[in-house]
Amino acid sequence: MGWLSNIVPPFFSWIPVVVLFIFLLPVAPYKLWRKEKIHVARLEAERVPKFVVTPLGDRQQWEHQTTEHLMWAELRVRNTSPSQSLHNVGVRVRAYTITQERHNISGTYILIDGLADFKPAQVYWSRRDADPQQLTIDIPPGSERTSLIAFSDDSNGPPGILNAPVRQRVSLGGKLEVEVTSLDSAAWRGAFYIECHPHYCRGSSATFEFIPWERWVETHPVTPLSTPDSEGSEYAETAFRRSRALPPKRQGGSKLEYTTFDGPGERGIA
Amino acid sequence: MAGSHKVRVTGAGRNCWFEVSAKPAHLLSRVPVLGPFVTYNLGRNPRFIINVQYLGYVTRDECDTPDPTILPSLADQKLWNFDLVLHIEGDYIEGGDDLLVNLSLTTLQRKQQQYLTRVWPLTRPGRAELQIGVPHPYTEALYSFEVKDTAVTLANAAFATVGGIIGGTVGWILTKVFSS
Repeated sequence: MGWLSNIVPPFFSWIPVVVLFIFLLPVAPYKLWRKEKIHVARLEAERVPKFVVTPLGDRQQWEHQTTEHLMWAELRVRNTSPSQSLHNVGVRVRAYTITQERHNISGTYILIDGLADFKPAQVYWSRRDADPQQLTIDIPPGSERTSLIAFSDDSNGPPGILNAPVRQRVSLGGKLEVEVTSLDSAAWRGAFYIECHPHYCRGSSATFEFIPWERWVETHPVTPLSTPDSEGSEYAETAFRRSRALPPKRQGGSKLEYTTFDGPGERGIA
Repeated sequence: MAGSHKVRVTGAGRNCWFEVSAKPAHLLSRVPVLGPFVTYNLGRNPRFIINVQYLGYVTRDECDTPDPTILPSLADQKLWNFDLVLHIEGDYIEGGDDLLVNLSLTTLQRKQQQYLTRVWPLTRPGRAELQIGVPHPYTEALYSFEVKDTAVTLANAAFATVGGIIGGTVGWILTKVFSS
């Protein structure tokens, strides 16, 4: 066995190797963990929208000087990024739900999907900031642009008209769910209360009431319809799906279609 | 046992197809054996990283293989928004999530888009499934796992075992060193 002692180093020669091994043992997982943490933090930052969105109601112009409309509601969109331009920014109205005062409990409201034919639509930007009928716009870093959500040319009252390619009348008061999107940012989503007040309601100042939904709810409690009735009516079904945060029921088949890979090797264990 | 699946998904009336897969955002959760036991105990809040890859464009019907060289038409270059839901034993966790597909990145630049989901609070034990789009019994889950209601986890036992082995080895070496 003398030849073996010539090949294998003495015992003490192994100590640095073992120490190095013990040192490296936690280093590799730590580096992996650190890299993954940075990656997740970057993805987390991408979830945050680079928009600040401010509603502007009470906009009116009776002399036709700066706008063709008598009263209107606007959404001011500001790019919060100090260095990055936001491209193809669009404002989309996702849903509109009418608020109705409960007949048995005064001062409380319920939400009703009263506009069955309401379709989600992208609205035009204001002509002050964009060309006529422009649906998307680029916003430079730190800049602000204005989207014209709805307008009315009848001072005697509702309905207001949604400023979209297919103009839809927004009558009564309701919850307007809005989405601001861009190729360079996560989508911003929010809800507003919108109502077109005629001049006989507020004296001579016929305006749009256009405020954040949370602020309106503070003074107008909305009671949810949380459970479907035993007969499963469509009204209750809608309220139930909203309460469970499920997507709305599709008519005539689902929005998405699915298939899965059946071939070997395409399905793995995480 | 946790498992991720690659799912093909497209929008109704559109011809662009995407391959979507998911993995837990927590690193240790990706170990197949430890996964459900490390992260998905009751009360934990897992998140997932969704990978979206452009498969291609089907020109005639859905039986055709998607052609990745064909870019979506202008009509298709709209907002792509897939719903993400998580359910445990069919009970949907409140508050969904939306995956906004970056068409410019996935189709024009041919890159994989990654999306970090929201935090899903696990409130009850059972079999959980992360699904994309409208939930359906026949829809394959992006990621499926068990939510366990166990106080002492397999992970804790595994870590204790590995720690004991390393500690014992180091102690044995040190004993040898100082005794010689």
